[in-house]
Order: sequence, then C-alpha cells, then structure tokens
Amino acid sequence: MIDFTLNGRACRLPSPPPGTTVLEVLRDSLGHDGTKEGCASGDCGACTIALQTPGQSLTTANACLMPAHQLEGCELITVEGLASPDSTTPALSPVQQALVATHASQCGFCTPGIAISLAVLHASHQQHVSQGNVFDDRQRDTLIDHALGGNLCRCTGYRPIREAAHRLLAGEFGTANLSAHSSLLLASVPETIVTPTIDSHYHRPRTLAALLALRTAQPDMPLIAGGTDLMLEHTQRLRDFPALLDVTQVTELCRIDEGEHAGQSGWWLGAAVTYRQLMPLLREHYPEAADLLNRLGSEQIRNRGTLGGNIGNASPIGDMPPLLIALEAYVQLMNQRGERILKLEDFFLDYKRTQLMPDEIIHSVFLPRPVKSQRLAAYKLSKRRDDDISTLLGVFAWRRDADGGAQHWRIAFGGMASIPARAFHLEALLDEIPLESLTPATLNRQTLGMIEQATGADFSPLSDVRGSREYRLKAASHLIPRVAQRILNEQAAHSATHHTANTSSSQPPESLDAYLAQS
Amino acid sequence: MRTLHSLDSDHAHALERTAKDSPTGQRHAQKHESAERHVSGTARYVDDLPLPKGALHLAIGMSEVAHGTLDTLDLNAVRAAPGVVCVLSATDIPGHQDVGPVFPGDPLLVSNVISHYGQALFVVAADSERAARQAARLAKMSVTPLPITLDPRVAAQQGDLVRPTHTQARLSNGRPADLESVTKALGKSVWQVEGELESGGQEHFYLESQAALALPGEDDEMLVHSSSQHPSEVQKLIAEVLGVPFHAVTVETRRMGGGFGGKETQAAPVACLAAMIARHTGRAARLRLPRGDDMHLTGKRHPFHHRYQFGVDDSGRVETAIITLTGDCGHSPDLSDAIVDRAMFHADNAYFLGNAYVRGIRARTNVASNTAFRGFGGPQGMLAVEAAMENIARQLGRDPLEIRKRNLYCEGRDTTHYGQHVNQHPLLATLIEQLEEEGHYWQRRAEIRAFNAKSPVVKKGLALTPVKFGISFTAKHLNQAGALVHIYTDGSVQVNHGGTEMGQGLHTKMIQVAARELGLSVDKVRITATRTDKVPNTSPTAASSGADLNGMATRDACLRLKARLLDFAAEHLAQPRTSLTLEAGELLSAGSVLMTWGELVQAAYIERISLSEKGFYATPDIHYDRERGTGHPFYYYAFGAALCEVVVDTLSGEYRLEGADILHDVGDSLNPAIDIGQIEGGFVQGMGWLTSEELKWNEDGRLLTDGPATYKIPAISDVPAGALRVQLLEGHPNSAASIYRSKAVGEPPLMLAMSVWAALRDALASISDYRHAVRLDTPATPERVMLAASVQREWLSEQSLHDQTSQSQPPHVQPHQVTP
Repeated sequence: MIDFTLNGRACRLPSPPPGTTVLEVLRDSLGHDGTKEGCASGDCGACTIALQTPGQSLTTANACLMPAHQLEGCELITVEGLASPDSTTPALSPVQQALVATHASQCGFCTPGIAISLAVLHASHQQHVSQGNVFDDRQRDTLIDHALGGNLCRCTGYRPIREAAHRLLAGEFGTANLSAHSSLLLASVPETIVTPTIDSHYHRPRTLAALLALRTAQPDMPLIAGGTDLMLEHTQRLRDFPALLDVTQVTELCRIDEGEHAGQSGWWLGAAVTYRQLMPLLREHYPEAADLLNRLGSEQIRNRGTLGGNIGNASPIGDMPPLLIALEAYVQLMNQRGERILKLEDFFLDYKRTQLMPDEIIHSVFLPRPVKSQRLAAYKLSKRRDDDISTLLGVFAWRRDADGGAQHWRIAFGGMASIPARAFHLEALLDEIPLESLTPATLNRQTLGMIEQATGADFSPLSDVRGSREYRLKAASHLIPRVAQRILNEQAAHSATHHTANTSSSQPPESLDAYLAQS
Repeated sequence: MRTLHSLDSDHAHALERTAKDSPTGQRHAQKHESAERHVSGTARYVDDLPLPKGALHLAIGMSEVAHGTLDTLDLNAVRAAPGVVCVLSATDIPGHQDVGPVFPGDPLLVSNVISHYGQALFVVAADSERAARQAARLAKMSVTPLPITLDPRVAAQQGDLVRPTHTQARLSNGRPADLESVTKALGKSVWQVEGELESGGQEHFYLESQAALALPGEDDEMLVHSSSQHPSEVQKLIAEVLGVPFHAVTVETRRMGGGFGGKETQAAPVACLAAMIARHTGRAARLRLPRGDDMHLTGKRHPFHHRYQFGVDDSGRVETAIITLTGDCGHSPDLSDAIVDRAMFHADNAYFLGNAYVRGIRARTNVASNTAFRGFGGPQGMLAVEAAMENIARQLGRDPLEIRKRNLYCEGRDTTHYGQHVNQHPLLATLIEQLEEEGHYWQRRAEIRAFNAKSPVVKKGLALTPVKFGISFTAKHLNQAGALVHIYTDGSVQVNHGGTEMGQGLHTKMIQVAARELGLSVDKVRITATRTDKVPNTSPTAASSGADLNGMATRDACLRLKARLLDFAAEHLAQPRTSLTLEAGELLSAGSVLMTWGELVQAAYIERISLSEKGFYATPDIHYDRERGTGHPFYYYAFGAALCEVVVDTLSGEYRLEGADILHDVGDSLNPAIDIGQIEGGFVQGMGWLTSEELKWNEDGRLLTDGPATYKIPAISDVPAGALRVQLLEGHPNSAASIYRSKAVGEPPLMLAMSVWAALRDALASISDYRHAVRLDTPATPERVMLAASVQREWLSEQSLHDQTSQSQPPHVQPHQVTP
C-alpha cells in the first residue's frame, strides 16, 4: 500500500508494479484526468504536479517520471486541487484567475501543468516575501523563467503566461493558498482505491546497511533516486522493472556534511542530494556552478534529479561531472565490505561504463571548498537555452595569481568524448600562452590553429543529433578566447575600480551571457 | 529597449477594459469559451473521455526500415502477448486500403511496400495501453530492402515526384511568359543576385498527440471521437475503410490540444484504426499515439530547397525573378500539391517580382508524408525572396529595409506573378513605415552599427520584414461552410458549425457572432462539439479560414432566425417590422422595450414558429486556372510586419531575441485578445521553425529527433520579458466583405518570424562590415550561426587580402554574382 494525500484527501493505493508512474496512477487508477501526458519523458511539463515531502518545501515534479511508490508520505496536489475545495462550486484559485484574465490558455493542454508550476512559484514567492525578501521585475522574470522553463506551450508564445505570473506575484489575484488546504483532511480515514494488488518489489531501505545488503543480494536490481533518467526505460523503452532499489530514504545519502579529504576541506555531498538541495551551497561558494545548474533540465527535473544519479548514469555529457571534474571532486563508493574514494575523473571508463562494481553504490561526492583565488567559468552550449541537454559543456577552473593572471588550469568537457573528461592539452596551452594573445581581438590564424590543435588532441567528438563533430571542435576551441577575454575584462575592471570609477562596461562582452549581464 | 507599445500588462488591462465596456462581449476581448475548464483541468480531450466497459487500448506496429518490400509479417508473438485481444493487419481491412486525402498513396496499413521508417504495419488491441505497446514490438518480419532517397534534390533529378511540376510565369507587363523569355529578361538587368537555401521541416508538436476513441453502435453504426481538424474527412475515410455508407459513421471533435495543420489529414488513420478494431471486436477502442510514435508516423512541415535568380536595377528594384522551389513531400502526395502551390503563390511575399518564373517541384523521399502546417507552404515560399532582399542590399551597399521598401507592391506594380491584383496593397507601406518610425529603426540601426564596430564577439542584428498572405483554400470547393443554430424555449441558444476548436478561439468567435446577431450576451450562447451529424460535408479547419467561413455561415443561420422572429413579432405585436430590433436580450421597437428575448422565444414557440435554422456560406469571386497559372485564388490578403532585434555570440553561435515589434492587419478584429494570441503564438512558432527546431534523420531514414528531449520548440526564456510587443493595425477594415470586415489570423503571423532570421543574417553581415550576405539555412541553430560567422570571417580575411592587392577596384563597382 502507498499512503499519501491527494489534494488534501488521504489516499491509500495498492502497490502497483515497480516503475509505475504517478501519472499512470493519476489517470488510470484515480480518475484524475486533469494532469496530461504530453511526452512521458519529462520534457514538456504537461504532467506537472506539486508535491510536499515531509520536511521539504512544496516543489513541482513531472508525474510521468516519478515512481508512484515515492508518493508514500507525500502530499500531492494536482490541478484538480487548485480551486478552493470548500464550496460546492469550486472558485478559481488565484493562479487560475490570473491565467483566465490574461488569455493565457489557447488549446489548454499544457495549461494544467503551467497552473501547477505557477501555483508553486506563487507560494514560494510569497514565502520569500514574508521573510522580507523583495524582488524587482527583472528578478521576478528570472524566477518565472526558472519556474516555467520546463513547461512547454505550443500555442501562446508565452507572453500572456509571463504576464499572468507577474500579476500573480504582484498579488493582484490574492494570496497563495496551496498549503492551506493541502493539510485539510490529512487526519481523515484513508480512502482505499480498489485496483488489483500486485506483489511489489519496490525496495525503499531506510538505513545504509539495509541498502548495501540489498545491493549485495541483488546486484542486478536497478538503483533509483529521482528517476529522471531511469524512468525513461519504463516510459519510452517500455521496460518492466521486476524490482527497484530506491536510495532516497537513506539518511546518509541525503545529507550535505562539511569534511575533509586529501588535505582539503570541503563538503561530502550525499548521492541522493537533489540538484535543488545542492543549489544554496553552490550559490554561496560557486555561483557560476549554480548558474549552470539552473540550466540543467527544468525546475521539475532539478527538484527530483540527484547528484549520484547524474554521475551513476555515466552520460557522456552529464552537466555535473564536467563541473565536478574541473573542481577536483572525488566520489565515494561503498559496498558491504567497505568504501573506496576515487577522483571523479577516474571514475568514468568508457561510454556508459564506470568503476562502479555491481555490489557498490555511490555514497557521496567530495567537493573541495574554493580557495580564495579560485575562479570558475562554466559554458554550456545547447540548441535551446533552457531545458536542453548540452551539445557541449566546457568548465574552466583556474587560480588567480597576484597580478590578476591565471594559473593552475583544470578544464573538463562534456559532450566531446564518450565520457566527461579533462582537456589536458588545452590546460597546457593556457598555462603556456599569454591570455593577451588569445582574445577574440588578438586571435590570429596561428593562435587559433594552436587552440584547435589542442582541442583535437584532447577530443575526437562524434556527430550526433545535438551537433556535428565540426561544430563541437570549433565551438570548444572558441571557448578559449572567451575565457581569456573574460579574465582580461575582470583584470581591467579590477584595476579600474582601483583607479577610476566604473569603466568596466567599456570592455566588449566576451560572450552572449556577459553581454546580457551587462545590459 | 524602446517599445512600440505600452508594457505588456498595461496592454492586457486595455484589453480587459474593452471587454468590460461591452457587456455582451460580442466583438471584443471575450475570454476563450473554455478558459475556466482549461485552467481547472476539466476541459476534456479524447484521452480523458470515460471509457465504456471492456474498452480496448491500441498501439501501432511500425516499420523499422525506410524502404522495402514486406515479404512476411509474423504476428504470432504479438497475438500471444499478455493482454492482447486482437491484432489486425492490411488483409483485415474490410474496405478501402488507401486513406490518401486527395490522391492515393497512403496505405492505412502496409500490405506490400514500406515507404518510410515508422510506417504503420499492423494494429494491436489489448486491455491496457502498455500491454498493446509492448506487444507491438514483438512482431517478426522479413523485408527486402529498396534504395532510400532522403534528399529531395536527388529525387527531383531522378524525376521521382509525388505530383507533376507546376509553373507560374508572367512578364511585368502582364503577358504570359516562359523560362526562355524570363531568362532573357534576367540578362538585361545590371545586377544579378542568385543563391540557394535550404529550409528544414517542422514537427507540429501539438501538446496533445493524435488520438481517437471509436464506439461501435448498432449494426454498422460507429461514433468516433477524433482529435481532428477535419471531422468530415475522418468520417468519409472511416466509412470507406469499413465499407459502410457515410451515414453510418459520426465523428465528433470537441477540442484538440493543438493542431497547427498536423491534424488536418494525419488524424484520420488513427481514427480509422480505432474504428477497425471497434468494428472487429464490437468493443470501444482508443488509440492515442505516444509522442515518439506520433513523431515517427505523422508528416511534418515540408523541408524545401530554394534556388533563386534575381535581376535588379541600380536602385535595388527587382526587375526579374526566377525561383525554383523543391518541396520534400515525403513518400506520398498527401496535400503536397496544394502546399507547393501555396509556396509558389507566396514566392513574392510582399514584393512585385516584375518578370517572373516560379516553378514548384514535388519531390518524393522516404520519410513520413509531409503535410499541412500553419502557413501551408507559404512560409517556405517567402524565404527565397527575403534572402534575396538582403543579398541585394549587401551587393548594392544599401540597408535591407531600403531595398524591401523599394520592392513592395505599389500603384502600378500591384499584380502578382499569378495575375491577382493585390487589394489593399498600400497597407504594406503603412505597416512598414509605422514600425520604422515608432520602432526607431534608423536610430537603432546607427546604435547597432556603433556597438558592432566595438564588439568583436557579440554582434547585434536588426531587420524589418513584411508579410502578405493570401486567404482562401486554393482548392476552391473547400471554401464553403455550414452552421446549425437552435434556440431553446428558455431562450438559450446552441450553435454548431463545421469548424473545429484547436485552441485558436474559433468557438469563442462564433459565440460572439451569434450573440451579436441575436442581440444576446455571450453567456446565453453555447457551442457544442463539432459533429458530422449536425453540420455535414464540412471543410477542414485550416487555411486560416475557420472564422471567415464558419462565421459567415453562423451569421447566415442567425440572420434567418432573427428575420423569422422579427416577422413573427411584427405580426404578433402589431408593430411595424422595420422598427423592431433585438438588443441586449430584449425586443425593442424604435428603442423601447416590448418584451424580453425569453418572452419572445416562448411566444414564437407557442405560435409554432421554428426556432432552429441552418446557415451556409460559399466564398465568392475566387478562381484559379492551373493550366495557365493565373487567376484570383485568394479572396483577400492579410498583411503584417515585424521589426526584430537579435544579439548573437559569433564564436559560439548562441543568440537571443532582444525585441520583436509586430504590427499586424486583422481588419476589424473579431476579438483582439484572441487575435493578439494568434499573432504572438504564430510568431513564436515561426521563430522555432527558423531557429531551434531541427529535424534530423540518420542515413537509414530513421527520425532521430523523435521527442522533446532532442526536438526543441521554444521555451519561455526564448521569449524574454518585454521582448514581444504586438499591436493590431487600426482603422483598416477588410476591403473584402468578410465577417464584420475582419481578417483571418491563424497563419499569417507565423511568417513574421522571418524577421528573426533576417536579423540573425544582419548580425552576421556586420562581420563583413555589411558587405557580404552569408547563406544561412534554416533552422538557424547555434551551430549554423557559428559556422556562418566563420564563413564571414574567412570572407573578410580573403577580402582584405584582395583589397590590398587590387586597390584600383573598390567593391560595389562591378556587377558581380553573389553565390553564397
């Protein structure tokens, strides 16, 4: 049985086969047809639900990728639960009123998902405001972009949806009332939904020991955390999982602890820590990494996807591994016999092959604390800015020396090889050649040729659906003048603040993002 | 960023005010009739309909080769799979095997030759959708492969066409022409501009995939709920496939979760398969395509290859144009004849071509049969001439806007290459000049040039492009519509018409039409689902014509009812007939209230006056002589213009839309909120087509971009806050007698997005100091933009070498060919 609350009503669901999704349960068993299936791959947002797990704030998720078993103990809010349940003819909630008033639905199929994403945004914004945080229009736009980046609309062109969001956040339609009624009937008697019971083989151990024992006993049983990748096996390749081993209830895997490793202080990040949970730490210590993370998947994916999952699935692209490799992170693997700690860059062996043994799990990742001179640049190139997988991802870490120069380069790329990997030749090149001769303005055929040669020595990428080999090699090479110009611009800005007032904007932007940050 | 218009929210407030000012909401920003249901999740789509007991779920067994003969198809494992109830293949089809909408070529299920990857081979019915889908993957088959053609130019060279080539040729003086005479004219111009371009296709990506639910009735009767833009054709094809008379089949469409042309013909096979299973098993059957299956099975916007040669005078004015458009039609004709025709009809966009020779080739390739998509070939047709406008500008060292303005249709140069006079053509200049002025084009041009001169990596681009789009089905017989209006004895009104609702707000507009004619508030009027048993023999809701055609038919029915009621009232109440009006729910005589609408209806009922009426409309004055390539195929034209600014990272190819100011002509708007919604949505969809939406196939003809993980339609951040500013052109009612002098709005705005592509090219041109126009195929992905920037840098370095060695020949003196 799975016990949860659905729109404030306690709900008891007979355990479905492992891998059954929340969307399947909602539409096929619970008769909640308001939540739509647009893609069943977590890319369109039509199935967006709101979820409150114990001890966490209200978040969105893609119902199509979430295993129904993870509903246990959660409060689930669907579009049917947005309108006030008090009256017999439900009154539209603020978010629904806003969408109607701004003509923000046309065909209406994406609308329930958008309403949920907006309702959660409204509630979290309200919470921030009540804590004294104030957002200007531009900051609100960023919040809106993040909240709705994973909700595709094919009809409206988004302008009215953005307007609905702005007017909602401005309080024009009243206060968010999501949390108020989600606890309404928590204490009432569970309603049993009658569907055939099938023997469940969905394991959710609560202790590390139990997890490791199950892993040893059944090494073939797939591990699942957020499910944002694994569940595609169920929805797209129609694989039936005989059993699943869910790591998300193991406390040790869900924690972020300060610690030390290899003589450095830093943090042990549990493998089941979600991107969302990781965000505040990155925002504080590695803001560039936080910006990158904001472009990983969508809000719905960031709310569910985990660090361990991203590393474990060994994607050649994987947005986190190139970042973590550049930051000299380690991965801690564990089985019943003990643990081992590897440099993350040594963990990946070949396409979708890693050092992980069948009886091992990824326990955590060690992320070193930045030293004072630490600098970072992360460049993700993709066909679409948001909710897209990188065509290539270049992460550059270096240390600023006393006169503003750069040293100790660590560069890692995703999308350039069968695994996320370091770019040793490019590192050597940046160590050797002065940045001044590598900027877009000073670059000549000779220096560009040297960069391209180094890139070619580091990587031999494939052409695929996201980009050609030619584009990958050229675009990766072009990140060198970008990072060189960035450092020189910083130097110039730095010396300018010491000498004269704000002249930094006279530097030409080295990238689109730099331009957008300036303007 | 300067704005043409007030802030977004002010704009919406203004819309709300107009709605409030008019309590009946008859002509104004009335909200979508399903808005509350949309936001509550209670708007039902086919997959949400409750199923009767024992209903079956279907899945399609698809081919895994792109071309070959199907020698054996072993379905034993499929039949034996758990949950499977019924498996049918081509031999089980009782009636017609071919469901081609106009011409044959689309087998419902393949019996012999497989002609694209993902083609339907058989259908499985099971007690759950998952069981059906899993079973569908268990088929064993042997196929003898045949050679695959994926390149339309190769197909054209081999003469492998789905339909014959069509040409339109006309000299600037109106005389008929041929290739020889136009080629001769071309040679007389001082400037020659020629080039090539490839434009990619586009997946519709309606959020609701194709779906149908078939409910068997008594004997041979069948009711099918279909997510279709063309219920009458679905009805026809189901009847033909089942071998029953049309009257046995009823098709109902309440709403679609998006259509965009993708449910004009492509909905029918899905509905036919559901009906076949329902007939075979006697059980309800639902087929809803999973996203990937939908993308493999159904056709898309036609990719095109464009080749153009323009003869231009010293002022940049086009004197002669030779344009060859090769449409990639996929494996069968489907609607490609009309689609490539429409591309040809729009090869001029908004410009007088002078001596013109336009040729349209319909190439056959081994992909799903490409089909209708918002614009229906029109957008593709316009690309070549818009590419040429910039090329001419660079060649002559002029601003592209100057060249575009110089070539607009104008007095004395106002007849298209197919001989239709362009009515209201002065609106083109009006639109462009208003945007030019209010959008501060020249000031921004100067600022952008200054910015670009100092910025080696990030470059800005600006472009102002017009759109002229012909309104009417070019298949003349489709320009008809019917409606059925019932008044019930409580005074409530039910309207039914032949059009379908796919989100475009057609039903809302039809409610407004009925309410206006009957003098009622919109809440008195209800639209019911489109059904073939209410209004028969309807045309697809397509060609932007939904409101034009059905609005007139609905109005016709209402006018008849109104006349009958007023005749009755005049007699019943002994009032002069001419003094009677219906306003705001009341019957008035010379302004004073006689009785309420409800009382009038009651009285008429008691006196045995019929309260039900049908309406009909057929568009007048349209004709096209395909033999001669001339005529008047369009009832009127809709116009628009867009001014776009982009910013491009020339080292990575990343870019962003900074602003889009749009001014669009909808005549007298039926509903400004809905019209603005169509313009915004069309523009962004067009932007997706031209920028991020890239379809890729592997060499075996398998579509690789078969889901939203790899096929990227615009997301919210691609339309930055405040960047999209839409204004309706005011004060210019349609010169044609359309419904309340409004204009069609579904398709024309999509082509406003050409300004994004033109602005990207403008930014790339800045690398060459605006001396060289670079070819930029579409979609202009970051990859294509970056590679084009590299081409520009190469050009510049070669040019500077050239300039150093031949100082005596500054650029732009000698006419030369631009061959990107």
